[in-house]
Amino acid sequence: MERSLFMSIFLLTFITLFLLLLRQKKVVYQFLVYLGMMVLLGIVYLFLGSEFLMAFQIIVYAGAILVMFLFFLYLYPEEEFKIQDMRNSTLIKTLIPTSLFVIILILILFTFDVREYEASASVYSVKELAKLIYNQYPLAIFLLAFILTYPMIAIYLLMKGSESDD
Amino acid sequence: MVLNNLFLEILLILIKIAVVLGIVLLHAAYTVYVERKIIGRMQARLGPTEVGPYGLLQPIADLLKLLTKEDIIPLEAERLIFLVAPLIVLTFAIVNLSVIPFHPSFIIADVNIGILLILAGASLAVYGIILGGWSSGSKYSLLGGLRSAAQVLSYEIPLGMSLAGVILAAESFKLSDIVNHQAQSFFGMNAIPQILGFIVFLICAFAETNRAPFDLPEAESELVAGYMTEYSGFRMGMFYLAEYLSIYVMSLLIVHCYLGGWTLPGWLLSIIPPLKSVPAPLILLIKVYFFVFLFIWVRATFPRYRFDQLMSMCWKILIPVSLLNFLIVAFLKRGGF
Repeated sequence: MERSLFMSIFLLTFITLFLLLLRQKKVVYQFLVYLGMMVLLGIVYLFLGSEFLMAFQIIVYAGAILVMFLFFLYLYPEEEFKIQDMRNSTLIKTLIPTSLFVIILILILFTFDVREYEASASVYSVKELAKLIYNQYPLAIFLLAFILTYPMIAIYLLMKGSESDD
Repeated sequence: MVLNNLFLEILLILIKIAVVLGIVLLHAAYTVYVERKIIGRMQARLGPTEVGPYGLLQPIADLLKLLTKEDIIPLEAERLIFLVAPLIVLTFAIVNLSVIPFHPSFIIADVNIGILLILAGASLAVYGIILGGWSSGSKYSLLGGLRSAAQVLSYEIPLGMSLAGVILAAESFKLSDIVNHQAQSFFGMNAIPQILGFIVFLICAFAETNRAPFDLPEAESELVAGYMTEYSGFRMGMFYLAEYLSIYVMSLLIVHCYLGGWTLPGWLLSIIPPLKSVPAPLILLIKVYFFVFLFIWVRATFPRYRFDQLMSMCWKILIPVSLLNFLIVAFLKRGGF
């Protein structure tokens, strides 16, 4: 009961932050709200007893990857981030990784047995965690890795585009 | 009865926090005095002498000055972020103290992932510097913030990699376990078998705290005062306080991870038996003071690096060396050492 109450509070906070993110007009403020969401996700992991995951969520996502985002936000004028005219082809390209992610999420949700998650040893030991990830969710990991390569390809194409403009 | 126990537990934690904060804040304030004195002597000057006997009341005079000075907010500044940024830096510097043990029985929060929490705190503290730099609306501050982001991000990798060797050796993320493991080991400290990791960590500690010779984010000859240029009064004081607290956090981390914390190596005790009677907190304090002195000594001795030198040293030297250290530790561990 207590657990579901806290999870509901977390969920409500997430939704509030998400709406707040959409309402922000400045990119830096949007970024800060997003950072808050990342830290909150770490707190959710802590609440679920995964201290190790919480630490990595904050060190890797909130502490490293998002700092790089902020770094690039400062180097570009804010006007360049505004979406001016999104073509249909761009919209479809953007939807590919999102829809893949949704498919994986649905797959995991339908195949996941909540009772199995009680094996709490996996959240402290890297070895156990790796075993769990690579043995039970190899497809999900493969597809997520594929999605992660997507931004890299996008950056390459952007760079190529800017070179040809020059 | 349960409520009483809970109340006592909370009270105990609050007392611990008050003791730690009181001691460390006083230390941070007087480190400024000690730094000015030591650097003064190294440069054939006297340092502060006017306020109180031997200038001992100088930190209090500085504090009063900072508190009473006008808090100026530039017109170009992004007001909210400008006001909050120093608080972010200071908060994370203080939070890191909560997982560091000062004695086998004195720690605020004895968590399983102490080291990782300190790394997480250090990586979040950089937001205060970047946001402070950006929100000031000055190009010097922005450049200082960007430099800091690049520097801290880069140096976190070898810092974490060198700590991985320590974690592997102790098989725990808890700082107290790491100290106990060193006390039971043959050398009595990690600094001897993991000399490479120790050197890498020491260099990274200077870079993570933005101290000389890695103080490029606040390089006065190029960027005025970097991300702090537009700050004044007690907000500037907060940045300084956070910097000196970080020096203590890093010194404590070095002592706990590489020099056996509050313990002395067995071989040293067999050579000098009277050392057995030295109390544990005193051993810890002497080791920490040495590293704080080292921070000051290096500042007075080394010239500042160029930014490209700073980056190439991190990516071309420190990261490969920290990986090599990790491999050596793994092989030693595999060999049963």
